[in-house]
Amino acid sequence: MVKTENDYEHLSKILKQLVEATGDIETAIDELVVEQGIPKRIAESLACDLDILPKRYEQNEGTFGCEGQKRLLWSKVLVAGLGGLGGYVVEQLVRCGTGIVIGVDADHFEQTNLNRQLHADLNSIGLRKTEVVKNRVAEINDAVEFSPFACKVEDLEDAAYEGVGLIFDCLDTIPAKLHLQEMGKRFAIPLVHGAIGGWYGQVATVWPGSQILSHIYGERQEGIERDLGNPPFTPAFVATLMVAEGIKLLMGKKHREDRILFIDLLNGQWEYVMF
Amino acid sequence: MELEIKLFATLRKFDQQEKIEFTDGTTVLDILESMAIPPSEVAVVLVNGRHAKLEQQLHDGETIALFPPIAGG
Repeated sequence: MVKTENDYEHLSKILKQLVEATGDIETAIDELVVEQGIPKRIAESLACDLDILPKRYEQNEGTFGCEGQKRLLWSKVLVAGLGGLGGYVVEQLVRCGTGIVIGVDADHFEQTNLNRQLHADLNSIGLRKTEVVKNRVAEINDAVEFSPFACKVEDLEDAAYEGVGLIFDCLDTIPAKLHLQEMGKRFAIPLVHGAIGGWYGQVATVWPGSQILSHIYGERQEGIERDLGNPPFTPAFVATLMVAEGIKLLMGKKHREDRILFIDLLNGQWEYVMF
Repeated sequence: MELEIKLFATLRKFDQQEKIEFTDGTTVLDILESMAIPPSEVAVVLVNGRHAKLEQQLHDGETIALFPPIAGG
């Protein structure tokens, strides 16, 4: 593992030589990983330093830049809930090249997930969500490290939050969401909150201690999703907004704002509420 | 006094065509009652774009926006 700046410089030199020798960044990265026994995401971040992005990030470059891509490769995030929102959130984080993704979900895929959850298909029914998502991540980006926790977020061990820079709230119950808000406060980790129901959704960044979710939910146990259910397009849309918000935070492009965005896809309304 | 009331998402079904007259100092809760909106269906209240409580008193010309709770994932 890269521990010091000297290690980093040393490895950077080796990678440069490997690029010159092989003429190909992907081959050079793979060789560096084998030779030095370092995680692939670290090798990729060394490539960012050389201003040579692996081809899988080529279409990220104009938006993130090499520096932004490097920050993402060094980022560790926690995604709570791997259902409607969480499936799409993990998918996009992994394609962005977010270095370490922790996925938390106690459930197995079932038939009622098929209308909207990215990883629910006829082959995954009955399988653990964490396992299915882990396999999917490995198929998309083998530099991203995915750590599955097959448990309820309320039962998640404290150690899972260690080093986490951002939490994504993709949970589907109010008590679990409020618990996650408390964990964000306790470990001083900002949280990107998302929630859906019918044609409607909401997104907010919850800064540690701001307790926006307590203001919204109060003592409630459930929301409009109880009656409206969740059609396919709302989770995909809200998850996309959550990831855009999260990437801005991880790349240091966002300042604190205590506000929540409400989205009405039926009437085309989009409203910010300031707290 | 005249108030503008904006209803969001599922709360739109409570929209009333006819204007209701309110007296100065009416609270958000009074308005919910007169429009037959159960307070349990309202998660967020905005008065003039700022987060407000159900007990807040209202004044002529103010805009109230109401949002339902959304919690699915």
